[in-house]
Amino acid sequence: MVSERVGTLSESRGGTGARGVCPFCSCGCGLRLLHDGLHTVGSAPVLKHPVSQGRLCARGWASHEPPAWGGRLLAPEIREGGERRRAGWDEALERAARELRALLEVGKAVGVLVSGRCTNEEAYLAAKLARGPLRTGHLDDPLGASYRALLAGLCPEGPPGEGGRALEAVEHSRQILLLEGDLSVTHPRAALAVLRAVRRGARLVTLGLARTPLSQVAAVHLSLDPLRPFALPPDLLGALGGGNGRPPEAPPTVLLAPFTSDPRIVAATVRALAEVLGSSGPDGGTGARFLPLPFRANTRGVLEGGVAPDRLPGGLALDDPQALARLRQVWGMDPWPRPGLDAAALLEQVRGLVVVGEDPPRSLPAPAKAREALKGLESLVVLDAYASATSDAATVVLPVAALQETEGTLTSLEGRIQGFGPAVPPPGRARPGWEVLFRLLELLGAPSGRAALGAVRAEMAEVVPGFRSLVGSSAEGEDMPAVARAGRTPEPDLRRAGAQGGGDAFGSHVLVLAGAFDWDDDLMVDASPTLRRDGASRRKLFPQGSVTMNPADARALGIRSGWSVRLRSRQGEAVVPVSLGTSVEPGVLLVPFAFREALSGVLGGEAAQRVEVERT
Amino acid sequence: MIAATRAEPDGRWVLPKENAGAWVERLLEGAQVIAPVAGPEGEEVYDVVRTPHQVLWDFVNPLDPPKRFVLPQTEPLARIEKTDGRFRVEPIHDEAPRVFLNLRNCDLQGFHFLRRMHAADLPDPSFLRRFDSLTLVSLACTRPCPWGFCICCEGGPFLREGYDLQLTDLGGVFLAEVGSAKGRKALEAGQGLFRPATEAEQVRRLELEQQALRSFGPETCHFGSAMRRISTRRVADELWEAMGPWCLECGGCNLACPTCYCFSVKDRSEEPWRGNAGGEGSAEQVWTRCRIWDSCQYQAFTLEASGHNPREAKRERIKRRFYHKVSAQYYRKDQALGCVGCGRCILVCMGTTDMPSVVAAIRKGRWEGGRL
Ligand code: SF4
Ligand code: SF4
Repeated sequence: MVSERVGTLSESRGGTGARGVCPFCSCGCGLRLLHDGLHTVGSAPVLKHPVSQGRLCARGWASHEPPAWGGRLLAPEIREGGERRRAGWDEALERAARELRALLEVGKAVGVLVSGRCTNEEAYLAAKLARGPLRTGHLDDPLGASYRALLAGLCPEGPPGEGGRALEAVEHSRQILLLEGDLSVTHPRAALAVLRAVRRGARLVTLGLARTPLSQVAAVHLSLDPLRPFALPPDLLGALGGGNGRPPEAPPTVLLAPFTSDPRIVAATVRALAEVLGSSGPDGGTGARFLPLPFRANTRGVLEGGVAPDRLPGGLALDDPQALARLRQVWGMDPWPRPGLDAAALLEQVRGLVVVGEDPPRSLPAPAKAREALKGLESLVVLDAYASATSDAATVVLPVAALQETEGTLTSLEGRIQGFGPAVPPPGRARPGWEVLFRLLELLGAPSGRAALGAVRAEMAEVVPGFRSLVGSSAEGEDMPAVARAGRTPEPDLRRAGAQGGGDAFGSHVLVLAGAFDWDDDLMVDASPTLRRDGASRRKLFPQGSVTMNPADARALGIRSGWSVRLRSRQGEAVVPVSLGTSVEPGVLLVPFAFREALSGVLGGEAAQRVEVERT
Repeated sequence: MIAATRAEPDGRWVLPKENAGAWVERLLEGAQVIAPVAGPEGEEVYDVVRTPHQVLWDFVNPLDPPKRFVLPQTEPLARIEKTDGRFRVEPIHDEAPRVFLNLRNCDLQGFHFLRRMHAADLPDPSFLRRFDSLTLVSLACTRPCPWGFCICCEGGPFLREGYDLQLTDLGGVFLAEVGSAKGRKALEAGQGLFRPATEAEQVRRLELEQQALRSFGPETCHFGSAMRRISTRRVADELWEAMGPWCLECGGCNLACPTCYCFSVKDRSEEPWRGNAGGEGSAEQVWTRCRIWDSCQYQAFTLEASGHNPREAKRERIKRRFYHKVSAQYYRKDQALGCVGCGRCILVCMGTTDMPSVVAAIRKGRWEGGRL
């Protein structure tokens, strides 16, 4: 029998909320998270927030959904004889420590992967775990390489200082150069800054592999050569200057997003840009200011917390004697000073791995390889709020609170360090991530301080410069690095990158992997019923993947949208359906990043390949 | 059209400001009170109040819409339990008595728009029960808000009907106009705290309304001519196409809009919270069927199971939104414009395609990039 009952409008349905920071992209929008005491049930815009000023993109408006609707990890688990079983916290933590210690004792490599959806505090403790008791430099964020590639062309010593007002500066720029995948999707708040500047009369030049919404409002769109994007269009400066062949009068603002999955190509392109913009103009440079755009909410903070194979906390160099001495003093143990492998490479090499809030097959360019590598590990300790392919393969699962259920800070693309509190308690037996990492550090023998977030922050303030003034934002400092630093970048190894270009006559078209990340592949987007639809429908429509083709090419081949083509490169071949779009140039076939796996055989590990295209 | 009855001529009282707190105290005894309060970032938000001094009486209309309290972003509709392979479905109704205090009149008009939608065709009991247990006390705007254009769409600033009680700040006192039996009850809760309004106070109320009408700023929105152009198909597709890149598909215009009500329905597994919630019984699995806010500006909103999407392109979605809000066809169907002039879309728009900007573009037949 169906009975009725009177519910209560818990205060939270409409009102009471916790201060939140959007957990998706790095723009750093603020919001109010509404809850019913148990679930997060709403996201509300905040007019007085300095970044978002009352606005949120579709992801921000749905930022309460992932923790309430996602597949959550609820209790610690350990693998025994091929089966996983629930365990108590002490047992699971001791087991994790024992597995990792056993590998270290026999000299087997271990590594740590940390996601840009972790808090600064979690990232710092994970970096300390790696360079402290685990004595390894195999430490990375799977999306870190593409962010470091942007920085490597500009300021090799680390990301720009904590200015906090870079987006405002974009809005008031007179000339803007935008290197993008599709900024309106990757970083909507930054896209609004560009739209506002254009509305104010700024001259916008877009640069990329595809035509995007922002390229439609640009004065000029310049296409990059997909095989040699670092060989910039010759008319770049003229385009910025007003199309009359003169360089720009005002210092241009340059927004940089990773537009391809190969960090070497990204770094070379950024460096080429820095050279072009730095070597012209009356005083020997245009005075261009660069704004690199990390993908995830805390990609920047995770790097600054020390998560990189070649940096120390604070983004400092591994051979910086002062930084090492300070770490030794603060940690009470010697920090591991040697570089390690990046995320993709370390997965192939290590026997034991700690993964914090990440599902590498979703974020690395080669998902199948990542999945295989995870399965082959002797120890895989996973700290996450959500179940994933990675937690499925774990030997120890340590369930942690989602960002909406914990206290912490995130560092935005502008360098704003923003704090937030828990809106609701974590479900089941999940614990805050910082607390779990703290206990793991203790069990692995790191001298421990007080188990309190305040104590962790105090420690960070000693070694991470941005944390010394832990306030909402610092108006001081540098918003964007100037181009002058570009010259110090080491020459990237491009022997492989773009090698299929120049002079090679093979292939009628170029197959290109779009971007270096796809929100439709993101675990939190997948956990949100509102946000997951676009990706899910694309996957349903094209279970075998697809490529986007210019309608002119389709006409020449005599095919229509949805028909399949055979693509043949020197690496392999595949039959895939095409969808048509004028966003791609004739002669180019774009592979959505989320479909990279279906085309991996043809791409052969490269970001672009020449291919022959045939009707099937 | 409007659910409540017309204000009676004798229904004018005043509440001296020093009595306002005591009145809220009395209202709190019989109902939950929702009112504008200071939010965590120091800005006004609607929230459930615990004590009278939280209530704001002089405030800018909160950006986050009060519609959350009648149509929550995540609204539990039913509890579904599975035991021994059998399912049991239990509707969740929410009809606790509530007083919505200091609602602005544009939002009050939005509430009635929502009620009409949910009462029409197949009536929606979940919405109607919650709505009908609300007492709506509006506070008329004697100063227009900086971005509002309610004057262009019968949304305010003062109303003749629709409220249960309409308050006007006369300085030292609030003048209260009774609009319904529920309003009278709210007034009676303050027995001894109100007194009948004097002739001079009633004249002052009218003067303030005239003053408010005269002080609207440049933010206006000429719906009439836009409606004529839309309804006679004189808006070229190129106009919608040109707007496309200036909308970032955030959906904010819909989600913050007092009259938008599109939704989807999903089942949320209660597994993760079973331990925390307590008293979950012996069911093997428990779900909550929820209605969640949706936006016609999202690409997958109109996606059909076959994979076909009738509004795949952004220009089609933008066109659809304004067709629903501004066309004569929908005006007749909905008995009102789909806009109450609150101006929230101006503030939340991640792009520049808010209502006044688009209405201006429709009138001019030209898109110039919208608002700065
Ligand atoms: S622009 Fe980025 S930070 Fe802002 S709401 Fe959207 S995803 Fe979140
Ligand atoms: S019109 Fe503005 S508010 Fe609406 S979806 Fe587009 S960007 Fe968002």
